[in-house]
Amino acid sequence: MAKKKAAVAAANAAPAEKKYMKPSEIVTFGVGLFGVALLSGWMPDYTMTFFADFAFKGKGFDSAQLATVVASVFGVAGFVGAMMELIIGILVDRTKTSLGKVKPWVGFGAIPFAIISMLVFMAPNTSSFTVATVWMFVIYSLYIAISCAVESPANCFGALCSPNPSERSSAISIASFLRSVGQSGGQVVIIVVPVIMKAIMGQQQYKNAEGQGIDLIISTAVCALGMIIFVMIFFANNKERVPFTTDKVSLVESIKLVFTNKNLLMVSLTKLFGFGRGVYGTVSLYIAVYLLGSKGLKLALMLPMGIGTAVGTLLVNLVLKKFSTKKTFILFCCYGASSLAILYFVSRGIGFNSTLIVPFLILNFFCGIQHGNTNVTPNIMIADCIDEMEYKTGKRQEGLAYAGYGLFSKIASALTKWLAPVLVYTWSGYQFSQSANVAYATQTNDTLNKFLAIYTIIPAVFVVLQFVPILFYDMVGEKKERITAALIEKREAEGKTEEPEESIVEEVAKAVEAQAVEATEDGEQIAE
Amino acid sequence: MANKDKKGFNAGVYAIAASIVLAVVLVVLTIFTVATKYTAFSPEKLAQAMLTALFRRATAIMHTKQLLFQRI
Repeated sequence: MAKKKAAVAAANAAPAEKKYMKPSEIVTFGVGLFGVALLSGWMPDYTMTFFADFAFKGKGFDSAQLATVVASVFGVAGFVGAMMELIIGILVDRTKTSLGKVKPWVGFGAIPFAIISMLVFMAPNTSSFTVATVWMFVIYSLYIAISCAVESPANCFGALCSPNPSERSSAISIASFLRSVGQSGGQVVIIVVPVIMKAIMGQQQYKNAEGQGIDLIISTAVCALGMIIFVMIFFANNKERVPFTTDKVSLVESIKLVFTNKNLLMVSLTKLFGFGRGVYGTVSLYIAVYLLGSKGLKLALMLPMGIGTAVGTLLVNLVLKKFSTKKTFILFCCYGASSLAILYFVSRGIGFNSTLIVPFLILNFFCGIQHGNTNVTPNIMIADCIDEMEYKTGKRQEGLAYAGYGLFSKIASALTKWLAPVLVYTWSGYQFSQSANVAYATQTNDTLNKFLAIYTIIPAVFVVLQFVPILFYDMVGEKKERITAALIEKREAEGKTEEPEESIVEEVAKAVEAQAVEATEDGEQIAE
Repeated sequence: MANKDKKGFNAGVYAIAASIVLAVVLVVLTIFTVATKYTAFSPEKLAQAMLTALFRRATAIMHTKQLLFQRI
């Protein structure tokens, strides 16, 4: 969605003081994003456990083969998602309707999105491994494609809701917050549905139903219904007010731009080198099952990490006042790798039992702090790289720079989605439950310890790898000051200096939006 | 509330209609899936599932026994 940068730039020409949105529109924009996140926020991880643990239980499929297929399904779907992001971006730009460019995608796409989400949890009753494999590939790739067609335009709406940058930034901030709440909201449904089922069916009958994945099917129906209601409220009440510019952002040009600017390449490589950082998200579901006792408690596991991320975001801003972006990034990476290593060794020392719960949750908070850095610092670095390119070439190419970085980000996300199930289902020696009445089989100590490693040590290795490209980043210190001064001088000479208050508002709007989009791509929850 | 464009498309009416239709579709899909998957609704299915599980367990035990005898 690199075009939104162009739309933002175009909107600067509009009067900044006038309010365009009704107060209810700001709320319903957030309600729409809340609705989309209510369904898409939890689907990938729970689909993985559904395919692996529930969909074909009792069919006699070989566990190792099933594990390989599940990993491949998510790897392929990751690349389908990356491609769809690009395709949908192009299609949205070509959409011209009386409703606007983005709204038709969200409003009309929500219907197939709800239906396909339900179909993901309706596995065919087959004993053929080939049929099962084809079904998993087709249904999950379809889900990813349709979710991209709804989610990407919905995230893009913020750039079009008002020509007033201040009003737009308020709307984006509120909507981003509600989207984060929506991601957690879906997980609350996963906790509440089993509680109601237990109350109605009794403990034993609930166990039978859980063993067959019935709770997941009902939770999906509830979230899909919520999604459609909230998205329709947004669709009926919100209007696009900013026309997109006709500037075309070519993918080839954006890749070329990344490879011709050393610093931008290093920031983009950072994203790529750290692709395995996100594997903890997948295994967190199994840590919730085997440590906390229920798959629904993933939210409880991730909450301290989310709070840590919020604290980390504030801390990064303080550290950036004292140190350069390069030093801040490296400092937080070292901290992140150390905190994950400490969590691993403490967990191994205590053992995978109930005594570990409290120390694990406390240390999880400290592990979350590092994410504040990965959310904030690369965005500042990209802005600096854009300044450097403008200084060298005289052209300011924000759209291309963000598109190039975004492509690396999407490839990294696809690699994470492939690696996570390989580690969780194959490398760890995970045992699938064969009994229809048992949701998750008992695992060996070796498997549980490997789960801990996937949550801690393996991401720590990627956190270290992540800062290697930054060692070659040099848009700091005297060079940065010189370029910034030269650009200010140039703009003053050209009489193009913008009102400072307006540019701060614009920067805040961009940063909030970039963070929210990145959090969605990484599948990370709450404040990240 | 409703954004009615010049050609007469009423977003409000569409939103209400889509929500109602989708709610019905989701309820039907849920009932169908639960009825076909959840064995406890039908004593026959429950018995069949238990027998299948027992059969698989017995086969696995026989297989392990065979392997052990082969090694001895």
